[in-house]
Amino acid sequence: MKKKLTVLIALIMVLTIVLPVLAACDLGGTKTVKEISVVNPKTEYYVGDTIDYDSLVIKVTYSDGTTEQKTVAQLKATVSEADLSQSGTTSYTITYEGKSDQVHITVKVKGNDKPVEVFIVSELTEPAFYTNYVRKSSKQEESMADFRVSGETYEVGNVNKFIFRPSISGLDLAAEKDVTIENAKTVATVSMKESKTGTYQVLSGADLDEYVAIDDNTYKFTEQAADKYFKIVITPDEEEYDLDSVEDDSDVTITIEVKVVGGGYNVYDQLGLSVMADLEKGAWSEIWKCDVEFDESAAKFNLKEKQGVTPLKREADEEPLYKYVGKVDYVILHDSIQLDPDLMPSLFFWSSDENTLSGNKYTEAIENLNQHKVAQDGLVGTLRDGFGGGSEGDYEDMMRVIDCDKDSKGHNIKFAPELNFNLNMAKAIFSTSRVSVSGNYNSITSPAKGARSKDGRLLEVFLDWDKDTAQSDPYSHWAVFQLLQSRKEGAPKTEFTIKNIAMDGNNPQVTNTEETFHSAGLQLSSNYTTSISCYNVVATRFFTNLLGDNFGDFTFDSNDQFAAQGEQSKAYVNLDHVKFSNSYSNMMYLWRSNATVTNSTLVGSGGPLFILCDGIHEGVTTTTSDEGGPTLTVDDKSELQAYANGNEAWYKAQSPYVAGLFTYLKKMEPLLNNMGKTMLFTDANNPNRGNELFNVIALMICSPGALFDGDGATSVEHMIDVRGSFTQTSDPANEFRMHNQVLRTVSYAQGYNATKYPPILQIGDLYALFVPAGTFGPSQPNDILAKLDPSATATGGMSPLTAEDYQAFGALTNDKMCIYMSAGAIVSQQYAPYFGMVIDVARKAA
Amino acid sequence: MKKSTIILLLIVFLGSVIIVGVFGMQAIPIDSRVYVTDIIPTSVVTIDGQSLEIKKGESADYYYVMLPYEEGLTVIISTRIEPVDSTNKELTITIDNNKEDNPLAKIGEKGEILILRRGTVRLHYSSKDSATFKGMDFRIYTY
Repeated sequence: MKKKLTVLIALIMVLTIVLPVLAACDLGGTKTVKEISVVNPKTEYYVGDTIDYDSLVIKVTYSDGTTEQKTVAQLKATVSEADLSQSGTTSYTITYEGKSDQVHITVKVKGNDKPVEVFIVSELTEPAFYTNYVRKSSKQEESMADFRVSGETYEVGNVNKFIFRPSISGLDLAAEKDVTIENAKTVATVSMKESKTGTYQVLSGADLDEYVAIDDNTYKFTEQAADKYFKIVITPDEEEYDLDSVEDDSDVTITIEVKVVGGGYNVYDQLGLSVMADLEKGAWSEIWKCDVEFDESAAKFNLKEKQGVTPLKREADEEPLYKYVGKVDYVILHDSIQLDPDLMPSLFFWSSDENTLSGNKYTEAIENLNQHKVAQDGLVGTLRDGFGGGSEGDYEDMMRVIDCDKDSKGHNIKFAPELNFNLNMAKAIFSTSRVSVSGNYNSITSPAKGARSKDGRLLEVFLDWDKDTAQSDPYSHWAVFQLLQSRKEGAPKTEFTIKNIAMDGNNPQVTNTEETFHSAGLQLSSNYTTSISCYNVVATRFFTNLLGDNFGDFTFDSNDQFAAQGEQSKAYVNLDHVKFSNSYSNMMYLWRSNATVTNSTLVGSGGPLFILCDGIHEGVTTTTSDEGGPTLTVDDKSELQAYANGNEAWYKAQSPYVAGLFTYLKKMEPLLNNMGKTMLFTDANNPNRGNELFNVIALMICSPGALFDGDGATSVEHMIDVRGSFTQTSDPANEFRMHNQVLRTVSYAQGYNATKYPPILQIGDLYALFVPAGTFGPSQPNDILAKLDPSATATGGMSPLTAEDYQAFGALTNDKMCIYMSAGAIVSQQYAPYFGMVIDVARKAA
Repeated sequence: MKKSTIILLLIVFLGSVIIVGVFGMQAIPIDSRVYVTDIIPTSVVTIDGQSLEIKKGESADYYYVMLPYEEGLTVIISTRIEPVDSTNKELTITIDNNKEDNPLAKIGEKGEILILRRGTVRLHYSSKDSATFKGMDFRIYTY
């Protein structure tokens, strides 16, 4: 019994192995059709041809891997026939034993001159730049990469042609690939309305000609079209293309709505953008392939044709590009631009040729860089420095001039001769006296940091003449744009605008580094104008985003002598719905300019977000108004973030005392804790930076060079009196002024001796003085906060804050604090003026 | 305590100081933010598992696939982001040419593309961390 059971079990085990194997094998008579295919099918026919389906050879592959070839007739396969009665693409299908093969064929018309599509038309596609506009302008804001404002109308200029070339796309099934016909032949219907809220009226005939000339997908708007709105409906020319296969008419219809900007020049690439460089004619004449000459009588530089040279001409233009220079009011982008240094004037860049410029020779530059081998080796091809040190010859070569101004030589500009200010201080790739920028949601991108062009050029500064380059970083005074206006009385005022554009620089924030040398990248725009507005701009990775310079705020009389400081030269900078991020230094530097920030986000600067620089050397006074200095007003919708702990490269590059500032601030933190507040934060976007960061919003200073020594003041009369104010219109509002009663009282009480100036904290309308341990004698072993108390003559007019005082501070809900300090005590300089530092403050968690 | 024990403790102490001092030092980043520079499609499959060949457009600035249209056709596109250490790898997918009255496609919750009718669907993949990165364009042709 036991033996039988054993055999039975063994048999079952064998069968469980063998049976599945047998089932998998086709032992003849059970194979099935796995697939079929037509052998070498013909794929091109003419209209009217016939196909002998019965003779088509079919390859049959069976489930056992074997194959055979038989005709359709032999297999008795079924056929779904193709339609050969008209041109185009069609197909037939052979089916056998449940398997099918579909063959796509092309049907042509024999002997017909009309172009025949050998593909299925699928879509009329707008140019890529317009797809980008629709994409970006319709996107709701979700991240820092998105524009704040959506739905801005597309703008076009009327100085040159607006080129809008759709393409036809579809499929060539026989070739199994897509097909694109560029610059498709189209038909356009144009309507116009007078205003954004008006009603469109279709234009035709003479009415149409009055506003626009259409030719081969280009549109040349007239002067009459300026400020008006147009709708253009574009469809393929049905005489040219077979649209029968199009699923929906909307697939082959493009509708665009545009606003025409009078004086607007349509830009499609970097060379076209250079039309705005009317202040650098001499330099750019190399690229424009023309000559430049100076008209002595008019004190103007004129461009003219160069003998034997074909001048640069863009496709959209009727004339060479140089003829448009100085005659446009707006550049309007119709594509994104990646800046290429090889398409910029060679004068912008260092070369080893000693005779290139009359000042700032190459050998001198190398000597200045003697502590930086990397910089010495890399200097050639980098941007010529932009700060000071230049001779008049420099900008003769650069030929930077505002036509309506002149000095005794007739072609150099000096706004303030007694201060020796000159334009060599700052340079730009595109420097203009009149041209605004409309981006249509396009972008201008700088090459990545450290990325050299084919010709070895780099959009970075290795050398700053004004600084000791041994231990410090170059300061970037190169910008993508420079908007510059004559300050002469009676000179035309221009309100510049940069709008609806994304900008990417090459100098991001550096939060921690041991390196001692950094090159300096680009600013977005440096502005010497009465009015500059940035609207709906997204910008990242600039050294500084905006410079607003009011320094040369003088007017001249008819003898070119200094006359007065006037409103003509007061600069106003407006940031409206902008998003700036990730800058190496600050995001706005105001040289005694006024600025407003509205509904904007500014995050991630490597230095303070704003630097308000008064810059003037005046004596101590009680009457000077802060309005005469730099003023900044921020609304309550704006987000401001500049977290720092002093390890950032920008702070480290300053005098060591600036980096030591953070150590000093931390000494005040426990005293703030006593009032239930803290000035230490965590950067939620970068948690690895720790939880002891200060949010440094603004610095209000005199000129940077005078911050520590009062610019060599030797008496109270020559002590610098700093002006400036920071205001945030939040609830409660925050307002900090360099001319406040407490600051004046303390300065006076200390005999204007900055070595004795205590730091002063202001929150809301309350002030407290930081008093280091021992100031009041042995009875004061710790740092404390004090208040002004004229009766406390024994302790210099100060008495410690009481518990009630701490409570009053603690009850405040202001989110900003200003600390007024002087470097006098640190550097033992009697006349080092107060400066103000605006930082965030918050309720301390229990 | 035995002399050998003390010596051993000293060696361990000194060794740990050295080791922590070398390997324990915090790496010092130059710029902590790494931006996306490229988005590359790696595979395209239909929801029923059919793999589609990814082709490059004539102008080489877009990718595409082509396939017959059928009702319920759904396509899943997988992508690779470069560089691999990008700080923010979040992508946004949009349809560039959807028609309001007769949409071509819609994007599902997991990023799958449901084709609603025959035609060309033009997709755009963009990075959330850069306003200037041009992104990737992808077309789905159905016939």
